[in-house]
Amino acid sequence: MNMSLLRVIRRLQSSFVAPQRPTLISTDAEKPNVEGREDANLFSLEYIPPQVQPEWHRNKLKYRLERMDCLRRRQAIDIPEFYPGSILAVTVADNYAPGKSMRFAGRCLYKDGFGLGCKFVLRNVIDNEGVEKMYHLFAPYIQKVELLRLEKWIDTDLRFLRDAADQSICEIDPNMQAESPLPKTEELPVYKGKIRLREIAMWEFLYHKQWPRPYNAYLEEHFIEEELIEREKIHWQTQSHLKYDICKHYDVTKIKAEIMDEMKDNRHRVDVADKKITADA
Amino acid sequence: MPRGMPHGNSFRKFGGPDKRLHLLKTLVNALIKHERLETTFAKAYETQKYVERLIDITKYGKSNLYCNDMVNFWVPEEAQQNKLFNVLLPRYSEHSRKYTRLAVLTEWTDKDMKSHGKMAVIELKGNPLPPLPVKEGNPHTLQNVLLAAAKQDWDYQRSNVKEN
Amino acid sequence: MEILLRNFCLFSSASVHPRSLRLQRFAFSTTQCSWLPDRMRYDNQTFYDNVQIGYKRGHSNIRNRDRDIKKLQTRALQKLTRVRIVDNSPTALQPVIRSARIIEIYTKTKRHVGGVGDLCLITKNGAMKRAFIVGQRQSMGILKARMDSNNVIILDKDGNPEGTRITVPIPAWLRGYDPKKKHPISMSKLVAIASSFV
Repeated sequence: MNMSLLRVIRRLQSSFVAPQRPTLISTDAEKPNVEGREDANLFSLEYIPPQVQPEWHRNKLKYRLERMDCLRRRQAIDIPEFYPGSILAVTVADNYAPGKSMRFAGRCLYKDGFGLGCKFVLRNVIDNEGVEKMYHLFAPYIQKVELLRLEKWIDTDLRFLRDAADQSICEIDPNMQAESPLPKTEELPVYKGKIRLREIAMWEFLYHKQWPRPYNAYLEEHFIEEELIEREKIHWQTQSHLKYDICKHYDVTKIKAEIMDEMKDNRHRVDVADKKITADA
Repeated sequence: MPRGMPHGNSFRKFGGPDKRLHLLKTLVNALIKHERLETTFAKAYETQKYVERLIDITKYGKSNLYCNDMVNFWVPEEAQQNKLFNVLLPRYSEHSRKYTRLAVLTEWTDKDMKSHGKMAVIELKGNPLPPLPVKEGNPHTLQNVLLAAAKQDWDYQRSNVKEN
Repeated sequence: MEILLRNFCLFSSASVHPRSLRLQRFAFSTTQCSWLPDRMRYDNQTFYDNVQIGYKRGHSNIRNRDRDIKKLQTRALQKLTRVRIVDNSPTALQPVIRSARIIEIYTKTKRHVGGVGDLCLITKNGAMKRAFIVGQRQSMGILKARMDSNNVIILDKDGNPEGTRITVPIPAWLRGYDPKKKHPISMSKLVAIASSFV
């Protein structure tokens, strides 16, 4: 109360009020990006540091330096935005390949890791044999990342596609033509379809036992309702109580705003550190 | 690996996740209802985190899905829910720091002697109850006088910078 | 190293024979100590006049321990694992009476766990054949392909592949791979009959 009153009084005491600069708002201005599809130089999911308890244990300087390194790499090559479920093609330096580079196309299964440790996995089916490859997103051996089709699914971990009954979902032609993605001013439609799995005996992992259960996998085909309800009781004892444990949730809204502010200055910091410009300029 | 190690988990266990949430739920509800509680230090310390996070969540508004789910779980009674949104939310709308105060009781009972636990009082800030007789530091010592002066200087400089 | 040499020359008397400046070992009897950590073992250390210079290569120690653990984690094929034969050799084309299994893995250490790039002995229908592993289900980390099945191609006694064609893609890093094995493997012929690389 006292502080706010003092501020008001101080404002009243000063007689001179600086005139506000007139702002021109053009009618055909570009629309801002949709929330969740920001410019990758400003914000991307891999810039969010891992959750640490208690909070003062985290090293903020280390996180900032790592984000600056990500920015350096993004200036060197063009990395498109993509989500688990979208189709990519990656060319990698390889000494023993003809032309000294190798290309691999596939559907992205998942993406995780913070900063330079960001990894993603591509899956393709070649000659009836499923092949998966993992890459570091910011590694220097990556020469080009092409986005063939932009898709977004409800699940962020699509590893159940290994056990899909119809493997043609991941069967991707490497010479496929790239489709132009939606502009960032429009919201992406999320894929909500269900995918049938093969017999339970052939499954690599028991997907109905994990929590949260995958949405895009059609599990209801293999179980009756009572089995799934019983399983939910076990979920509550092991994992599912975390849904209501509010102190263990990771609220990113504040951190995201901080990162967006920081990344605006980071481009200048990178230039100063690499001695492209002097600090005063 | 040793069984009792927390491994980065800084929360108390209270007999498993099921019992823990049940216990914290009753404590949080009681604190919102009475605005002041006397429990063991461990329980008070945990409820402090959860109440503060709950008030943070209510700032998203009732229409938010996440806020609606969490409030319905933690504060199931309608009377408490109304108090949370209509009384506590406007009270703390301008606060950015802690909404609660925790004071340790020095008097030991028989029960505490056995469990070697401390008793504590937790209360919401700005409550209408008579104030606690919490012993505060003497402001007239040399160190406290110097610190207060330094703080005043710092605040004055910061306010000047903002105006310019 | 030069700085070290000069220092020790100062301390040693002038009449010392140069042979005494060779690498020496600790005088303590730490050979039999199984309770010591690997970096403290007598065998894994090199000394220069009782001053520790480095660790011996080829043994597990504090520096290459992480690498060793990673190697072990990525190897998952052991005795009696079922494998799929992926070439057109006569053993692959036989009708299955007893499924193909690994019965021995030729590795340097005696852990009997192998992965891609290892030689092994398999049986199919009761006949033993030497084979080379070209794909596995266990993920091998970054840039190395993970297959949906454990793939194997069959070699003859000289280390040449028996078949003339491999039906599935094989990992690309095998092109630059040099298997330093006691038994002969001709990698160039193996790579030549591959249909595609990933």
